[in-house]
Parts: sequence; C-alpha cells; structure tokens
Amino acid sequence: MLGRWIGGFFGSILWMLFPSSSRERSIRLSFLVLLILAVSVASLAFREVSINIPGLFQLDRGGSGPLGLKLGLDLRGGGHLVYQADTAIRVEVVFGEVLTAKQITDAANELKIPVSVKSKGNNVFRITSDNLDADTRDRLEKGLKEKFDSLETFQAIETPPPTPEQMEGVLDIINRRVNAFGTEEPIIQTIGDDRILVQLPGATGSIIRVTFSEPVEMEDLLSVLARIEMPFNSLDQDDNRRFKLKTNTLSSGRKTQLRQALGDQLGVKIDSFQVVSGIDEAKALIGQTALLEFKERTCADRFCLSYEDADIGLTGDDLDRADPVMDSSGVGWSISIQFNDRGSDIFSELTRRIVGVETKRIAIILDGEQLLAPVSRAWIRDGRSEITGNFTREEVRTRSIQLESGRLPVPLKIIQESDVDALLGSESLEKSLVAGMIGLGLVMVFMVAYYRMAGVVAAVSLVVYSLIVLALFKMIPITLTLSHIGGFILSIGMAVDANVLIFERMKEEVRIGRTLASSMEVGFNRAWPAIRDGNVSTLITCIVLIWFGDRLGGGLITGFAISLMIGVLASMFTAVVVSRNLLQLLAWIGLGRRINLFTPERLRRTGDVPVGGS
Amino acid sequence: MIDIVGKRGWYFLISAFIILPGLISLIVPPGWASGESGLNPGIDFTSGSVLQVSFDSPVSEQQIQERMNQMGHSEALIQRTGERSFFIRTKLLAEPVGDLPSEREFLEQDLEDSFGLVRDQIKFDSVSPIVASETVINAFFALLAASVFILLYIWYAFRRVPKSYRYGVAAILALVHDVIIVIGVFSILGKVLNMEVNSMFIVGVLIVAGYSVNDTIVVFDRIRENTIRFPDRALATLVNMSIMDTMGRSLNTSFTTLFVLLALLLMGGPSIRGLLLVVAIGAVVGTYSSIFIASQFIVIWDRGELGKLIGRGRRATSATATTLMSVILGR
Repeated sequence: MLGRWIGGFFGSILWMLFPSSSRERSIRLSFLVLLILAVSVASLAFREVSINIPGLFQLDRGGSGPLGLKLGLDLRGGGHLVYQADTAIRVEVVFGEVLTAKQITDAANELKIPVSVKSKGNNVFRITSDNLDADTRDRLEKGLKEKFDSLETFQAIETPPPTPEQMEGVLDIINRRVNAFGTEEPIIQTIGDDRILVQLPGATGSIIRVTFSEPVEMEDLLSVLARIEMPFNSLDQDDNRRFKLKTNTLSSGRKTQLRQALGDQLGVKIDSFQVVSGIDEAKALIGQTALLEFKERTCADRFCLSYEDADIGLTGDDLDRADPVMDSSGVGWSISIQFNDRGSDIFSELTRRIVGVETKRIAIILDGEQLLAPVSRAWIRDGRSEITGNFTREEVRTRSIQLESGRLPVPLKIIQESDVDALLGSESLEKSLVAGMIGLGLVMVFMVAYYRMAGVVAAVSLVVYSLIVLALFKMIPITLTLSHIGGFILSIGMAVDANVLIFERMKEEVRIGRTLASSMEVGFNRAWPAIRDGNVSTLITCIVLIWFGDRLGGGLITGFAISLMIGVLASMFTAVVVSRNLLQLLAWIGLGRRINLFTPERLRRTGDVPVGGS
Repeated sequence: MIDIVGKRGWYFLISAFIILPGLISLIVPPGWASGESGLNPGIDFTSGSVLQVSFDSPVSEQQIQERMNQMGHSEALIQRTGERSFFIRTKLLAEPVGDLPSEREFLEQDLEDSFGLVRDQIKFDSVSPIVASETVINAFFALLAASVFILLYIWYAFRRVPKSYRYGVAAILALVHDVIIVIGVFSILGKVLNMEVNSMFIVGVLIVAGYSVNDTIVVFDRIRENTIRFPDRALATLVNMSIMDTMGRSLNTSFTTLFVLLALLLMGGPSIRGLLLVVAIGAVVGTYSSIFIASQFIVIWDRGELGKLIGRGRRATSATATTLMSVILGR
C-alpha cells in the first residue's frame, strides 16, 4: 500500500520531469517550483510548524531564532562541554597517620609532579594526574615515603575503558543533574565510545543566590529589580527567604548595586549574597562522580509519607555488582545486588535489625535522589540480595545501570569547552544576517549588470534558492551555528556558478545564430555535464567532511559541510529547474525576440539572428 | 585566439616561484625540518584556552600582557582584534576546585578590576591536548580520502575520453598545488603577522580543495566535449580552445565568490577572518591552476614532455635544496 503510494509519488515526479513536449514539461515544472516555493514560504512564515496525521506522521518544528529557526549556542549564548571518561591511572595511598590532601599535593609539587588529591578518609587519599606512568609513580612513591614515614600502601589503580552500560549510566546521571540545573533545551549525548557532549543554552551568565533574614514577597523583589533596571533570565524561589536569580554575567559594579538595592529597598537584612558563574556551577554539578548511599529509613506512618533517614556507612563503594534478573517465579523481573565483604557485614547487621519491622525501609539514594526504598523480607547474611517489586524489564535495567553508575563512577574530564555570552551571540546573529543580505545583494547586482535579463532570472532563482535552503534548515531540522551560516553564505557565491555556466553557453549559441528559445535549450544541455560533475565533486568533499567531522573539532566542520551540501543540492535544483523555466517563460511572453536584453555584448552580426531582433 | 598552451613551461615556473617561499617557510626550522608543522597553530591544534574579550575603556596590548604576567600567565598571547577587543590565548586554564572559582573567573575578575573588562560579552574556548592532536590527523586523512574519491569520480566521469585517468591525476595535481600555496601563504603569515591557524583553517583548506576541483572540472568538461566533437584535432589545440571558451565563466564565478567573501568579512570574529583569507586565496589560485596547471599538465603528459618537466624539476629541486641547506646551516 505504502509502496504503491511512494511509487505513485515518484512516478508523478518523473512524469513532471520527462513529459512529452517541452512546453508541457515547462508548465508542469513551473507548478512543481511554485509548490516547493509555497511549502518553503509557508514553513518559514509560521514560527511553529506542526503537522500531525495520527498514526502515520508527526512533525513539530520551530525554534527561538528568526523565522523559527533553531539557533546554536554561538548565536544564542551558552556553554558547550565535551567530557571524556578519564582512564588515566590513579594511585590510592594509605597512611598510618592523619594527613590533609593539601599536605600531599604540596609534597608532590616539590617533586614537580602536578597532581590533584582527593581525600577518602583521614588517612586514605586518591591521587590523579595527567601522566602517572611507571617512572613517575616510582618517583612519587619514594618521595612520599621520604616525607611521610607512615606511608602504608601505595597502589596504582587502572581504570578500564567504560562499558556502554556505564556510559549510559553516566548519561543518565548527567541528564538528571542538568535537569536539576534548570536550563532550557539542553543537549546531552554520547560521542563515540567514551565521550559525552553537553550543550547548555543560556548557561553562561551569573547565578545569584540571596538569603534574607525574613520572608520576602516575590513581587517586592521583582519591583526592586525593575527599579534598578536589572534584566534577568529567571527568578526562582526556594522558600520565602531564599531566591535564585539568573542574569547575564554581572560586572562588579552591578553586583554591588544589586546587593545594596536589595538591602536598602526591601527593608530586610540580607543573610547571604552569593554570585557564581553559571558555567562553573554547571561544571561543578556535572563533573562530580555519582554518590550512591544506602540508608536506614524510619517511617512515621504506615504509608511512609514522612520519614527520617539514618546514615549507616554503606555506600556505592561497598557494592560489588547490580544486575537485572528474572524473578524466581519466572514471571517478573527483579534487581540482584551483591555487596563486597565490608558491605555484606553492614548489610547483614542492618537486615537482621529491620527484618519484619513495619516502619523500617532501606533507602537507596543516588545523588541525593531516592532510587528505591524496599523493605527487608529476610536477614541476609551473605550480602547477596534481590530487590523485587512490580518491575518491568525496562525498569529493572535502568535501576541496575543507575546502581552500577553509583558503584563504579566513571571519572570524567573536560576535553573541550566553548562558552559564548548571550549578548555576543545575538550580536553575531545580527552581523551574519546582514552579511548574508549584502552577499546576496552584491551577487544579484553583478549578475544583472553582466547578464541583463538573464541576470534578473538568476537573481530570482537565488532568492528561491535561499528560501528553499532556509526552509530545509528549519524542517530537517538543523540547529544553526555560525559555521552553518558561513557555509550557507559561501554557497550563494557557488550557487550562482551554475547560472553563469548556463548563460555563457547560451551566449555562445546565440552568437552562432540560434533563436533565444533554442539557445536556452542547447545551452542548458551543454552546461549540464559541467554542473553535474562539479557539484558531485563538491558533494564528495562534503560527505568526507561529515564523515570525519565528528572528530574534527566537533560540530564546527560538520555544520559547515552539512550546510554546504544542502546548498549544493538546492543550487542544482534552482539552476536546472527554476532558472530554466523562468527563461523559457520569458521567451514565450515575447521577450525572447529582444536578444540584446540577454547578453552583455552587442551582437555585431545582427543580420544572422533569424528571429530578427529589435 | 591567444596561444595559452604554447607557453606551458612558463606557468610551471611561475607556480614554482609562488610555491617556493611558502614551502621554504614551511620547511626551514621551526618547520618540517625539525618535525613541526611550519604553521602557527592555534589552540585547536595545541591545546589551551582562548578568551575573546572587549573592554569599556581604551587599553593597550602591553598593559594586558603586563597584567597577565603578574597573574602568572607570562605565556599569554595578546592580539588586538578590534578597537577595544582582544584575543587572549593562554595555556589550559584550571577548572574550579572545591570552593575556589575557576582560573577563568579569576582572570576575568582581575581584568575587570584593572581595565574594565566587559563581563557579559565574552567568548571562551578551551581544548585539551587529546582533541588537538586528533584534529590534525583527521584533517589530513579527510583531505586524502577526498582526493582519492574525487580522482576516482573524474576517472569515471571522463570515461568517454581516451586515458581519462590523466584528467583525474591532473585535477588532483592542481588541488595539491592550490592547497600547498594556501598553506605556504599561511606559514609566512604566521611568521610575519603571527596569524594562527585554527580548525576553521582546515575547513577553509577543504573548501579550497573542493573549489579547485570544481573549477578544473569546468575546463575539463570543455576539453571532453571538444575532444569528442573534433576527434581529428591535436589535444594542444583543443585544450587552448577549451580554455578560451571557459575563460568568461571562470572569471565571473571567481568574482561572485570574492563578493560573497567580502560580505562575510562583516561577520567579523578573528576565527572566521582566517577562513575568509584562505578561501579568497583559494578562489584566485584555483581559477589560475585550472587553466594554467591542470589543463597544461594534460597537454604535457599527452606530448610526452613529462620526462623533460621532471628532469627540469629535479634540477630545480636540487638547486633549491642546496639553497635551503645553506639557509638552514647558515642560521
């Protein structure tokens, strides 16, 4: 059914392209052009485009930019971060005395080994560095031993490359954290095996946290902001004393002014006033490794609507594995968890204490958010347990991945970052729109001046070209960045090339004495192989670029190549279909007799022109 | 008709003269001779951080440099990009640790206090060494892959012409010619004007490659057509005829491309400016090479003058090498 429909669709296109007579073809193609033009204009005219044929087809397009185009970070402002799973070797050291991370960092610095040290207890530390090869580790171990006699163990830990499940877990964690951060339309996706791209529109700027000593009305706060003309992106209320304000990056002067105005005009004392950069806050949030905790929950009522959680010292470090498994009944799904020795002891002690107690639960918390809160059905002595419930297979899989990501957090490091302030972005957008207009204008003026009437045809088909390309950008949809716009503007110069090739051929044919109409026909046919071969070679370059693009500085090159490719395809269409039909229409309405309107040079052998020009 | 083909030896000499300074700049240390790129690499290829900033009061490059020195960033490279806007390149800035703000925040705060840095109009980029080295390798393979595919395509597209592979080889020769000129010019600009190459430069080089082939194909298409139309005539005559036939188109398309590049210059931004220069040089050189290198190479190959050209080239190369060695040793 669908096949026949598709066949019919392509059949009618073929019928349009290869009909019986040239005049008939021309009329049909003109309809096709008008149809495409109408669809392009319509899709650009409405900011939001939404087509919904239930069960068959659904499409929603639209963005924040002009004409409803989607804008990338460099045009609207925001942060672009690429993380990579950090598989560098790290070292775990245990001392016989209480030390601070700083003492160890200083000791390493004396050895000229730049490290970052994380404390895992009073005497246990994790040391990371860009390069901890065997030699460096030896030097570090000797150095630490000299400085601190009490060095007990010095153990190199290799981090294996992350598995796809682990990356999925990391993605899940970042997703939840970014949602908590509250940025609109974030993009979070894996690139390759071990990289994660995070795009946060609107994350550049300042975040101001104010705590007042007494409750403050939201309205009063808003009126103060209006009075000092402080533009802001959002104002959130944690409770009636604590507020969070997001603005463009504030200068020192503005910060002071804001603080004073709030203090003076609200008549309430400010307990704390904190300004952080939005990007730094986002990075701090994303970069943390996940924290998985098991807590003892005491419920206050039967449905456990209110409760208290108590720390029992059981964390993701104590978990050996978590897997989705089939229920013992063989019907449902459950999550199998297994603790290591230390974990098993604590878990055994916990389950012994709370088994059968109605008010007790085991709260499993990832990143401060509850994953599960099962009750204990048995005293589990070997650390091997199954969490059951009415789980679907998918839920069980997700929960296991979440537990695993808390058990074996994949350390991340930033390998690429690009932040653009919102004001700068909108400025770039304006500039590039102006540049596009000027580029289009210059090319049109040149074409009309050089090729006269044919130049007008080229100018019209350039406008059609631009509309089609913009409509494609919107409908595919493509998130526009500066490099897309650059590629698009550059393609205008190249789009006109096909017209130039055709007109030059036409001129030759006119020169040897053909009529205008037949010159057009012959000129088109002669120019076609050059247009085809030239454009195919450009398409080859584009495809190679897209192929390598993901690795070549991320979206920059891919963006350029994609817009160039769309441009090349659209320009072939406009040159071969739009320009050709327009010229033929002109020939029919009688302008074809006035050959001088079409060529820049005076035809000396006017007598040879059979139609008899003016 | 102007006899273009008759003077074919000269064009190769002219190209050699254009290529040579750039090539010397690429090879002489610190260049290929010492295992470097010969270009002035931006952060995309070396790793580091770049802040594109503007100030609300006039400030000089020296003032910023001194301030950066005092903050422990003597490696910082300051470049003026507008009346009050600058490009500050540093080594990779540190991420925030615990309660400490990031190094970027710290630098921005200081520059604001010292010179009135405009805080809400900043573009910040940073690239770690891993990404940097990948970019270069991938770019090289991208160019290589594109060349191979284009060669194969031309071979196929010209299959009705005798020895069609020669057209593919000639098109790639012109491509290499254009790319070497562009890279050479940037090597010199990197030394004279401190111009950096970034990943946009690679985009530019790839556009130049595409443009070069596109241009060459238009001329070749004419040769293909004329060869089939006038099978009796000598190839040299046909090539000359085809060049004259396509001259108008070649010039017009170069013009329209240059117009558009002029408009793009208004888009501003130091990163795009390098790209525009690459494409502008490429548009001119691409037009030149399609007429004076690719087409002439077909004639030379056809007339069996290849050996002569290579012989001369070898003598010229050895002479160049001697000069080069003396330059290198003289340093």
